[in-house]
Amino acid sequence: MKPPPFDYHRAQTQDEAVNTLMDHGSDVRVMAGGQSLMAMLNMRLTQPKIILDISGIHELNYQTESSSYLSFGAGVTQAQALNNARVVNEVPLLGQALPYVGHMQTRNRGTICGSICHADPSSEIPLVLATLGGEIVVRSKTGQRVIPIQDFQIGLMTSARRPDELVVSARFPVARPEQRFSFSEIARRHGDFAIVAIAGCCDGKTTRIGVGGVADTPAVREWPCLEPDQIDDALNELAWDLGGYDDIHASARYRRELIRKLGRDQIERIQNDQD
Amino acid sequence: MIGDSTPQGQGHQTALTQIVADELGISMDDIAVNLETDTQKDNWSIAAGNYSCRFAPASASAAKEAAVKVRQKMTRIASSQMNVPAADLEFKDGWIQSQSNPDNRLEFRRIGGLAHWSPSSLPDDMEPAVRETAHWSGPELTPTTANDEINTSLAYGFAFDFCGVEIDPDTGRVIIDKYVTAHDCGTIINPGLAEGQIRGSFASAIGATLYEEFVYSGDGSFLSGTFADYLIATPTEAVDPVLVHTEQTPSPYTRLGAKGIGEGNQYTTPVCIANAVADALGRESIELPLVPSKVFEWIHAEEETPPPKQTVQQVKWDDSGTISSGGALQINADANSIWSVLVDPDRLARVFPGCRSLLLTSDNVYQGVVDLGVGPVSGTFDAFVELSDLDPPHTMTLTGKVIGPLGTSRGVGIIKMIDAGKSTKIEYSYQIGLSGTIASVGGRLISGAARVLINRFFAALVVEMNPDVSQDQKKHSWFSRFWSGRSRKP
Repeated sequence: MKPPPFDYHRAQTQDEAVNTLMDHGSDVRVMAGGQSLMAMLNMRLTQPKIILDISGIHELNYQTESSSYLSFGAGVTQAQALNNARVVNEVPLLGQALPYVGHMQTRNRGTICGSICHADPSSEIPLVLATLGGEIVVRSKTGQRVIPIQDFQIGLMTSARRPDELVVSARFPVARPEQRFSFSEIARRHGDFAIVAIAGCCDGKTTRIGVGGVADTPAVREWPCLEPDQIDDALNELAWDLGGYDDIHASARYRRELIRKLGRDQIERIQNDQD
Repeated sequence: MIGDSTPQGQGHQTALTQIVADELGISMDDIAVNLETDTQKDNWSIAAGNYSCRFAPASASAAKEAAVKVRQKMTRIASSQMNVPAADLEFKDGWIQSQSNPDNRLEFRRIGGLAHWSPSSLPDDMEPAVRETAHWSGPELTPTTANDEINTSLAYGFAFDFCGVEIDPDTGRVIIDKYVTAHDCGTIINPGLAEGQIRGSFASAIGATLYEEFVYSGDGSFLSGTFADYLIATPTEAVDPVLVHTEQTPSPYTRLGAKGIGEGNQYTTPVCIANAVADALGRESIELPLVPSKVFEWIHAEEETPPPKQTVQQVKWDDSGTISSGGALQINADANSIWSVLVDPDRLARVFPGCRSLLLTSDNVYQGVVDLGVGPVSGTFDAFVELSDLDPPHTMTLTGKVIGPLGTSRGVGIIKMIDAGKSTKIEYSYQIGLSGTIASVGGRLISGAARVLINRFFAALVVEMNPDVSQDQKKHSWFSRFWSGRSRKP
């Protein structure tokens, strides 16, 4: 349980971090809170030449609000976001999901953006961002680009970030008054990797469900608000479409069943809240 | 006081201090206990250590014996110093005194000090210093039989548990509503420590009942090799048991009548909860731990809702740790062209995921070096691939293995090509088994990683054939996802 040898760069500024990425590219793993990376390093599952620690970059530790989204700099920890009253008010789905992310101790170090970059298929934060249709802002030596989340999460632990790019912020759309949200998760123990996590959003016209833990990336489906007799069919189709997989904690079938059962509870809740 | 019970926080020091303080009539504060044991220099026996409820029956008995020996020696010294018959002396509140004339007394420490400072003042035949060693063994610890059978238990505690559970039929989760546990552990040396033993044992039994499992694949690879996969009960999972007043029926065999309590709930709780679940489900056979996925399948025999239509082929992970799946795709090239890629080392190297080099070492046998990985998890592997059952340009079997620092993977793939004029339908199936580090610590990632690599292979094959991916295929969920990702890679 010792990491392989690596060089450690602790960047003080965004520019310094971007320069390191420019010079060393795919030899670098960026570390913010290190809550997934450190474990993977210690198990030697990942063996980067350089760890670029961005947790000391003060200019990335901001939570700012525009009319359309709440933006979290790459230094913002999950605990900071959970303690921000605006998160609960403006992005209630994130507020509902964050208590499921690890434990208080890991949330004190783990970051919002780090979880999205790590792109674990069971993670709650990428699921919330996918369900809300948020964006990721990346910066490189050559400039900045904004990537819609559905284009950012391209596979199991794989994102569209280029090796020379630094994720600088994540943008979560601000809730509109007519929207209703719900989040639920089944894990072996609280804080464990989700077997199935489901995020729901309904604005009175459409119902959207995001599923984590089943496919390689969060899967999002949207329907016109479903009649009670349409819900089971819609969820059954979604469950079979995602398929699921067997591992030592749950079977593929169990994952499909949870999509049906938890999904139905959530759709009923967010659609009925409209009345 | 020095002992060999090697505790990890059960309070042995406290209990031993109590026993010695009671025997010698001195304050607990004046007793120092050191239970660090070094088998090279310390006195120990096969009963040393901290297992099989050794402490309360055995270690505590030995402590009592040693304290009695110290008391006897000090009684002889005090008797000669104070000119009082030994039978008249009592040890009380730090003094050794005459029961018939309490004014005739000496401090405990004075008698102890005398044996140290002035051995010549001791009774004639007495060794200097007061240092006594006691060993204690139960009469039931007999030698092994001719068949190497042995009973290592010194005494038997008794426990009676009952509980009420609830099972969520939607999730298979077992919720322990109430758990009642009653014990008879013989003499209780310290009620607080005894309760701590019950609660600690119960908490760890909850882990065994609901969470903890050593999982191995068919080839022996250990699959629950981290605390992310080997789940233990933490305070969040704790259940507060109802403790019924503990009976005290002393053991006739141990020195203090104590029988041990630490392991009680280790044995009763898993069985008690399993019985409750068996009763709730009307099911005879309950296999622990009660993993919700498994319990769900006990409740609901078959998946009620069938797939609405032909969907992506499922990835199966069987009991032997083998992942198997398959799929189909359409490539806009004729079967002969595709076949020629698969049998040409240079072209195969271009479609093999992460291939650095690939050489044809003998007929249809390739050897090479590949970089394999998913996201941050990656490594360089030696790859060996053999093509067999060749029926050009219709079917072939690929058998291969990759070996590297993260582990070893063996796999078999069957490719079938159905020529449809300008395009070819490829049907494939594969079985992959993994062992080594990746299998034991990356369990969650295995099936996903295999899928990603297979997808990469076929995506690269499509690129190699240089066709346009048909619209139909873009709907193919994994494929479109992968494809959209690949095109954005540098």
